[in-house]
Amino acid sequence: MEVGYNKYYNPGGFSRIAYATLGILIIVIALALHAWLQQLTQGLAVTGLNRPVVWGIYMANFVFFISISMSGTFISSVMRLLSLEWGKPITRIAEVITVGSLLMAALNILFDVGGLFRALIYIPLFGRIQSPVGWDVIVLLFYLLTGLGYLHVALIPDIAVMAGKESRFSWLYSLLRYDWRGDKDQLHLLESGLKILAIVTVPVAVMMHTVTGWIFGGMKAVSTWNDAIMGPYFIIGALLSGLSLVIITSAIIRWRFALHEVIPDRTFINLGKMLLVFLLGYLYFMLAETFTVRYAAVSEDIRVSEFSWTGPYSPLTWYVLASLVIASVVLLIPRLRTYKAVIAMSAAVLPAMWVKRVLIVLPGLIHHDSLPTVQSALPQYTPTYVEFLLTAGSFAGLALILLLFVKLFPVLPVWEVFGVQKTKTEPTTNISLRAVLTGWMSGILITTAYVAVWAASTIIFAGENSAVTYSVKLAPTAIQVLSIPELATTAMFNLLIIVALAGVLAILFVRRRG
Amino acid sequence: MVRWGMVIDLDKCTACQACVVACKAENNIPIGSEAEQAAGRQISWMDLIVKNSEGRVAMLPRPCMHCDNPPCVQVCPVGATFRREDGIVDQDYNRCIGCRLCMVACPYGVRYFNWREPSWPDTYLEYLNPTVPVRPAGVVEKCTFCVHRITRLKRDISTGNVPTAIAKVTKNNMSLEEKTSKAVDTLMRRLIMKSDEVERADPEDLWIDFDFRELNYLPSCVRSCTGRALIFGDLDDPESLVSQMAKSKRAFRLFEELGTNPKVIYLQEGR
Repeated sequence: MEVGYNKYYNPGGFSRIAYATLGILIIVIALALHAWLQQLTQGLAVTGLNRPVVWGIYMANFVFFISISMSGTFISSVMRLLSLEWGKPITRIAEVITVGSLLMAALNILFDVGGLFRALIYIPLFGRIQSPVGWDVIVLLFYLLTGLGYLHVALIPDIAVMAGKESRFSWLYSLLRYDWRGDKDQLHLLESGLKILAIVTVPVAVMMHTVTGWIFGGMKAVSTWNDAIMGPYFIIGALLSGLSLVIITSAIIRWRFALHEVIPDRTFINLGKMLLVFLLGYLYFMLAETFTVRYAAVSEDIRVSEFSWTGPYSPLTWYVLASLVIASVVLLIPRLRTYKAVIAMSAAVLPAMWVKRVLIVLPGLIHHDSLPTVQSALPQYTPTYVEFLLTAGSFAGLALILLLFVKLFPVLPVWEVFGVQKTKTEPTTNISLRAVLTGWMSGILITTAYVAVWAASTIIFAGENSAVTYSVKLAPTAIQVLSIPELATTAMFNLLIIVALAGVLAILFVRRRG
Repeated sequence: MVRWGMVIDLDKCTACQACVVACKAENNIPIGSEAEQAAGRQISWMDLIVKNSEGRVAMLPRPCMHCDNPPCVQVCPVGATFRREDGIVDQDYNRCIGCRLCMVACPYGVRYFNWREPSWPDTYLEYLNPTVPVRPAGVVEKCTFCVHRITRLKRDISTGNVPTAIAKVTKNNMSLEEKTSKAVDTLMRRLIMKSDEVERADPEDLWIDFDFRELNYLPSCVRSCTGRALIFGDLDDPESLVSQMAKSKRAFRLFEELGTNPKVIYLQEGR
C-alpha cells in the first residue's frame, strides 16, 4: 500500500480507449455546435417547438442536469458529515459531476431562450426576483460557486503533491495548491473548512431542486403542474438520478483505473442500498401524484393523466415505471444485490429518469391549449435533429469534463483515503489556506449580498415596467402591490445562507491555530 | 384613472374573422413562408376560439384578456411584459429574452413567439404600418389593444387636433386620461350607431366624415367588426358604453376561477 497511492498522483496518459472516447466526444460536440449555430442564425424554428408545446427536451435536459447535480453535494456532504469511510473514495467523482452537470444545465437553458445574448445581458441587468427564472439563476449561481469551492478545497492536498512532479501542468497544480504544506494545523483548518462548506451546500442544493420544481409547480395555467408535490418530488428525483450517475461513473472509473482495492464491491452494494431507498421514495411520490390526479379527477388533469398512462405517451410512462419497479425489486432481494446488479440497475434507472423528465414537461404542455382557436396548430411535438444533437452534445460535454478531469487530477481524494502526504516542493505563493477558504466563503457571501441588493432594488426602485406584478384596484387610484410570497421565500432563503456564512466566517477567523 | 377593457357581444358576432384580418394588417403580423404556415406557426393576436359543445359550434373572438392580475407579468424574468397604469398589459420587444415562460403561464394562450425572422411577400412590404414595431426572431408578442392608436389619440387631444365631437366632450378641467376616456367612448357610441339613429341624431353631434377616419382611434378589431360586437372603452368610467354593457346579466369572463381578473368581458349569446 505504501507505494500504491503514488500512481494516483500521476495524471493519466491517454490510453487507446481514452483517445477513442475523446475523439467521439469531440465529434459529437462539434456537431452540436454546428446545430447550435444553425439555431442561432435561423431562430428556434429549426426545433420542433410550437404552440402550445413551447418547451421541449431542452427544458427536460435542464431539469435532468440539475437533478444529477444533486449527486455531488449529497454524496460528499453525507460522506463527510457522517464520516462514512467506505464512501470517501467516490466523493471526488461526485463533486466533479455536480460542477459539470450544473454547467450543462445552464447551457441547456441558453439553448432554450430565443435571444441568447439578450438573456446573458438582461438577466443580470433587469432580472426580477419574482420570476421563477430569477430564482433559478440565483440558486444556480450559488450552487455552482459552492460546488466549485467544495471541489477545489478538497483537491488542495492532492494538488500540492502533484505540483512536485514533472508534468506539463505543474504550473496549474502549483497555482491551485496555494501554501499547502500538509502540516497538522493546515489539515485541521482544511477539514473544518470542508465540513462547513458541506453544511452550506446542503441547503443550497435542496433549494436548487425545489426551485426547479417550483418553475412547474407555480404555473396555474398548465394542468397537473400546479401541485405542491413538485418541490419534494424534484428533490427525491434528483437524489435518485444523481446517485445512479455516480454509481455508473464510479464503476467505469474503477474499471479503467483498476481501483478494485479502493472501491470494493462492498461500496457498490452500500450505494445500491441508498439507491433502493431513493427508488422506493420516488415510487411513493409517483403514487401520491397519480392518486391525487386520478382520484380528484379534475377533467383537465385527468386528460393529461390518461394521455400519459393509456394514451400516446403510455409506452414511455410504463417504461419508466417498469424500470423503477424492476430496479427496486432487484435491489430489495439481498441475494440479487451484487455489485454488478447495482451497476446494471443504475444504468436502467438513469435513462428512465431522463424519460421521466420529458414526461413532466411534455404531457402538461401538450394539453395547454385549453382554448383551441381557428389558427391553432395541432398540439404535438416531435423533436428535430437540432434538438437531439444539442442534447447529445450536452451529454458529451459532461462526459468530456469528467474525462479531462480524471486525466488531470487524482480521481480519488487520496489524502482522505490514504492519509495526507508530505509535499516535496515548497509552495510558491504566500496566500495562505485560510485566505483561500475565506475567499471561497466570501465569494459565496458576496453573491448572497449581490442577490439581496438585487432583490431589494427590485422592490424599492420598482419602475413602472419592472416589478408591477400585482395590481389591486382601489378606486379612484390603483395601488400596486408587489408579489410578496415568492419574494419572501427567496429572501428567507438568502437570509438563511447569510446567517450560515456569517457563522462560517466567524469560525474561520476566531479559531486559533493548533 | 383609465382602465381599458373590451366587451364582446356574442349575440352580434358572426365569426366573420374581420377582426382577425384587421389585427394582422394593423400590427405588422408576419405572414411567413408556406412551410411555416403548414407547421402551424402563424401569429394571430386576435383569433377565434372554437367551442364545440353538444354538437353546437360556438366561436369566440379572443384578444389578449389584459388581466388585472396577469400571470405572464408575474413570471417574466426581465420585466419585458408589464401592466401599464391604464390596465393594458404591454410587451417590450427589445427587453424580451424569449424564455417563453409567459406563454406557459398564460391560461388563455394569447402569447405568440417569433420562431423565425418575420417575413412578408414583397408586395406587402410597402403596406407595413410604420407606427407599430416589427418584432425580430426570438421574442414573444401579444395583443396590445392597439396601444399606438390610443397614444395617437392622446397626442391629438393634447395638441387640440381633434374632431368637434371629441372636442365637445373633453372639458378643460379634465385630465388627459379622462379626456381620452371620454373621446374613446364618443367614438365608440358613434361607431355602433345604426343608420336610423344617425338620421335622427342632432347633426352637431355627428361629424360627417365619409371615410370615418376618426374612428381609427379605436382598436383595429373594434373598428373593423362587421357586427359591431366588439365594444372598447374605459371600464372605470361608469357612464361609458363598455362599463354599462359589462353590467349585463349575460356577462361572463374566461377562466374567472383562476383569479386573473381579465378585462375582456363576453356577453353570452342566445338569451
